[in-house]
Amino acid sequence: MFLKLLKHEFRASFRLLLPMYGGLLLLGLLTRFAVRVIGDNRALTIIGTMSIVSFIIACVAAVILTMVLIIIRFSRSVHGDEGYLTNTLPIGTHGIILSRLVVAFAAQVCTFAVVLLSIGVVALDQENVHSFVRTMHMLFGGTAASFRTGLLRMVGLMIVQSLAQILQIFAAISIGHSFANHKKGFSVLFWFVIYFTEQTVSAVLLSALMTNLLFGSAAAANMSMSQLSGTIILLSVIEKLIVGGVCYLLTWLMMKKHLNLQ
Amino acid sequence: MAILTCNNLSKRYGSVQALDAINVNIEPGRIVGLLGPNGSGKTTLIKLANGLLTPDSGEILIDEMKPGPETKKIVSYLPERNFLSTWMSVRQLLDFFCDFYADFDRERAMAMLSKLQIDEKQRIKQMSKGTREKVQLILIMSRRAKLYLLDEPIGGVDPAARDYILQTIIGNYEPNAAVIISTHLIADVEQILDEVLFINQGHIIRHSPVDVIREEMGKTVDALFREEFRCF
Repeated sequence: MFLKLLKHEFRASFRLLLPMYGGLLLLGLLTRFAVRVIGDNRALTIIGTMSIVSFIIACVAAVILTMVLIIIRFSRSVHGDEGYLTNTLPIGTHGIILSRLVVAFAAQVCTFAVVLLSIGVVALDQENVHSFVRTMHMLFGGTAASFRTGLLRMVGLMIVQSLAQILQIFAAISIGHSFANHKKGFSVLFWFVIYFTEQTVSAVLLSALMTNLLFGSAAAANMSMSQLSGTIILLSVIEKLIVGGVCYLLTWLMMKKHLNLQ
Repeated sequence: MAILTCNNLSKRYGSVQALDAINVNIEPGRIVGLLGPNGSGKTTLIKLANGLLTPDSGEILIDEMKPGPETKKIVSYLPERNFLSTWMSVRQLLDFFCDFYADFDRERAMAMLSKLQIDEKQRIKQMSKGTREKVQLILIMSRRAKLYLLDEPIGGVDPAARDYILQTIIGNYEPNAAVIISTHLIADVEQILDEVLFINQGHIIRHSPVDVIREEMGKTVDALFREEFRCF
């Protein structure tokens, strides 16, 4: 039953995302073409610049639109009129939340991948690739092993961060819709409440950690840059997991006990 | 064995007592009118039966189970609102219902759609309000459910559409199933009802077979309703 829910959720979300991805890649190709063809022709420089600016705006818009789609899809299909069908399907509340989470996460990953790909289409040549890899090596400590470890940590953090971000949105929408009036306004308000609470707790924890590392034990003082970044990433992952878990429980609780369909 | 049981069921919204310790048993094979003025608690009772609300106290049982995924397999619910995704076509909706409800009879749905000349390829957003409501009803009544909960199925549609909806209900519900129709348009539905539940301010004030009202009291359900809910 969960797989069927996933299938329909994918169809509902990606019917809008796929054309957007196609458009972004096409724009990437056109931008590359414009930049290459124009080359050093000063008379046409303005067209090349406009193409690049349009492309950058389109990339930013794709990321924002994906987030807007996730918000609209969750609020309409769970807390809007469509919620009458969603919430009376023979599947539990966990199944409904998880299906939305998986599809929203897939949407974010796909948008990220398509934006990267389209940037690659516009800008990538052999020199750029070498320069990118050199920068990454420098960031993660120089050796191939540390590069892989660093990359894996970053990817892990991005995954957990993306899931936590989606769950924060779900929790804010679910709390906001439990009010009789101004549901959208309360959803936005509670998103800010959750976001600033999380940021404050995160900042306090990070500053406590940094204080401990800089002025604490001798072992901590001897940490390499790679170890230090590894520790910070690990703690960030744990913090995001906790935030995500709390937001998941809040969403579940609101849907289970305080569902407020009009 | 009752298909729907309420034991001291209460629900409150803030300071408003929507349902106050109600006790009801609905047997299979009956068409029951849940009748009351606006704000009397009809929709709250139906939402509780669907697990869309949680009781404050007491319990509600569907086929001796608390509302959950298992009861949702046997309850077919038509809400007051339009719950269909407007981007979907009729065919996609049929696929959706086939996927989620083992008791969904696609052939029956297609026969009803064909009778109304509704094209399967047509999207919901291309339909009029009345056609959307008919599609919703067809989907709900094409399930071979044990309990049909219909919340205001004839509210907001013209008299001709009302006749179609009522005919669809009586022509398609499973003989062993119970149908609960919530409405305040008594005169239109009373011809198809076996029992009535009068509800007011969260209390069940009458639960009688329609025959008793007609034969022993010598009144129509509509007349009795007007008498019991007189505003002045």
